Amino acid sequence: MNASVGRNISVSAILIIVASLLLFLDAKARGARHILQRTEKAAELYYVTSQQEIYEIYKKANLWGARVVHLNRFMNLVDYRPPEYSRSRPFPLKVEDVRPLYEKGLDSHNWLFIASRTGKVRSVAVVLPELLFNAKKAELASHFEYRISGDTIKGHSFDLPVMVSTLDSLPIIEEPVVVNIDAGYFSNVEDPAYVAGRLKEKCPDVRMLVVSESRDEPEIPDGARLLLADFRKRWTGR
Amino acid sequence: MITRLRSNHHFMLWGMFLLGLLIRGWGLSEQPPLDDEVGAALDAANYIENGHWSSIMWEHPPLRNIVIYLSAKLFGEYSSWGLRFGSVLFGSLAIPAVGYLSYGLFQKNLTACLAAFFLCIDPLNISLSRQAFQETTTAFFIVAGVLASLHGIKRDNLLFCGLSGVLFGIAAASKWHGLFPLTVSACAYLIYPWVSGGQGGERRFSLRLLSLCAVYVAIPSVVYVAAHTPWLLRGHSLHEFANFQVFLSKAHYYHKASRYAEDYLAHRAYLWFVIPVVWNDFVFSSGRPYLNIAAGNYFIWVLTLPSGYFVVKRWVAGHRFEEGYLLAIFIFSYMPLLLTSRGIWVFNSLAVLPFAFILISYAINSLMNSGKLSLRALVIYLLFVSVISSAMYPMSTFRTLDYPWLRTFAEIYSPHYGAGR
Repeated sequence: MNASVGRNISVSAILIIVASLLLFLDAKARGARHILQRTEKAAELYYVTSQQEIYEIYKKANLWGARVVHLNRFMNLVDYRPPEYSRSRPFPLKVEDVRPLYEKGLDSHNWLFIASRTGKVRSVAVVLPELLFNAKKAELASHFEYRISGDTIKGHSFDLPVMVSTLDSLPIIEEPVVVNIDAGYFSNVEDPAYVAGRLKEKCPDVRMLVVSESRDEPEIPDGARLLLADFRKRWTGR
Repeated sequence: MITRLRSNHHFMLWGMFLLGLLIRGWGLSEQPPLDDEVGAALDAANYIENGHWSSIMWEHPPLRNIVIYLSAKLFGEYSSWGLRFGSVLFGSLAIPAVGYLSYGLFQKNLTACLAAFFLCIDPLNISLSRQAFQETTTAFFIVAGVLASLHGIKRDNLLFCGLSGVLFGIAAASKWHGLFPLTVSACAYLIYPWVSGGQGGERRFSLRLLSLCAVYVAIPSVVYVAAHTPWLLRGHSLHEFANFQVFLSKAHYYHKASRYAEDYLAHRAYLWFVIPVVWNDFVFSSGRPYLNIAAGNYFIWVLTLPSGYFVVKRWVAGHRFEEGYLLAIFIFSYMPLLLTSRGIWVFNSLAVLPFAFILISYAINSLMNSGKLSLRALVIYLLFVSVISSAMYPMSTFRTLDYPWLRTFAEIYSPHYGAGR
């Protein structure tokens, strides 16, 4: 066997091994996700009165690396870092699991960000009513974290991939998802029947649907909660 | 026997490693943790155990977390040594690595020993070796990668080139500075048979290009990705990983440091080898303040540009591969930092500094060989820079405020001064 044949074999072996390792890692990563199994009839439906409670639902469902579709008037991605991170202390340092530290700072504005920091959520598609989406588009245009393409905005909040869109511009998401729908989404009088129908088209594999009335948000009118109740009926068909 | 030991570069380089280790570890337990080091410890444990992406210096790849975690495991707790051993070890190991790289390039004991000595006593390297961050780790793996690459290229040995791919992958997984020498080494590998004056093995360009893809692209990529395994195991696909890297590159570009660092500390890379520039840290711990002023030894650093010019002239005259390789590594490691519009602070110089020191050592050695520099002058110079580094040692080890004669520096670099601006 001459040297260049040997070299050819070595190079090919390296490339094959590397490609296999990458595929293996990708498969392992996808396999690590944990989201509820699909029931025969429909997605598991949860009802909460405040957004913070959604985090508790995620926790009980033992979510890990879930993809979330989030319909609201807010993104709920206000960032948060536990104060323990920047507090000098003497050696030896007490190093603890930071997830409970993040949970201590949970509120209605940051709960989705915290769900990503604690590993429950790995990707978010935020769906805004059209009017609010246009305002958000103008707001995010100057943020390097996001890039705008037509009626979708893609970017990151820290290590969390985020997509912002309207219900119509939301692409079809084939993978299993968790959907949150907040009363705030109906503040601009969206049609519940249309939302339910369109959402089923866009997200064919919804494993959990969390309906939030956001009773702790004074700016959400009661009319929006009535529309949310209507949405719930139309979604479940009851 | 002493003469024999002196002429043995292995003995000298490992001797300097021990000296470097001593200097870097001396009184380490008394150095309080910085706020960011506390965060780095939390990041390390949580990254390994549940894939939590760093909160401290989050735009950098995650190797720091792995190094700190392993170091803490070795020492059983996040003590001063448990937290910082990785930095101390790699900061010290870089000393013989630089020496071996110099020797590999020029086969001169004096060049090897001088380069290692300059790194050994460099106050900036000492200071950053005593903090649980990624600077010394990156620098070590870059130098080790270049060393392996040099042997691989010159011997046409795929194994050494593959090893350099692994080392560059580790360097890049620590900080993206590793990508610059990786690129230069890959190009050097590609063109070596045609620029080496009749040497160098495989001359079929297509096979050489394929080999390059395997050892300088595929291997570093898989090592880089593997360092992200805990994060990937949060469910992220490789597609999401790739998108995240694009986002991180933007985060790097738009990075802003604290107001004090942006407004008050020198943050342009062109200043490094022209005037003394510093990085400083302040911490209040156990009822007293600590101030660290980390700067290079100006009397060594200032020789970089003249030495670079000297080596360029020699390379133009002789087109020696080794000189060209060293110059290219230096220039392409330095240039991106020089050209960027964002702030680049002096701690970033650690990835460039080893090559600057080799340039200086090579120039000094060449001047001595040509009789333009006497041994006596060199000894006086080395004594002088050693005294300067010794005088800077308290500043580099958080003890600036302990010595009245350092008060002037303390006043100039007081963070309160910056905060009030």
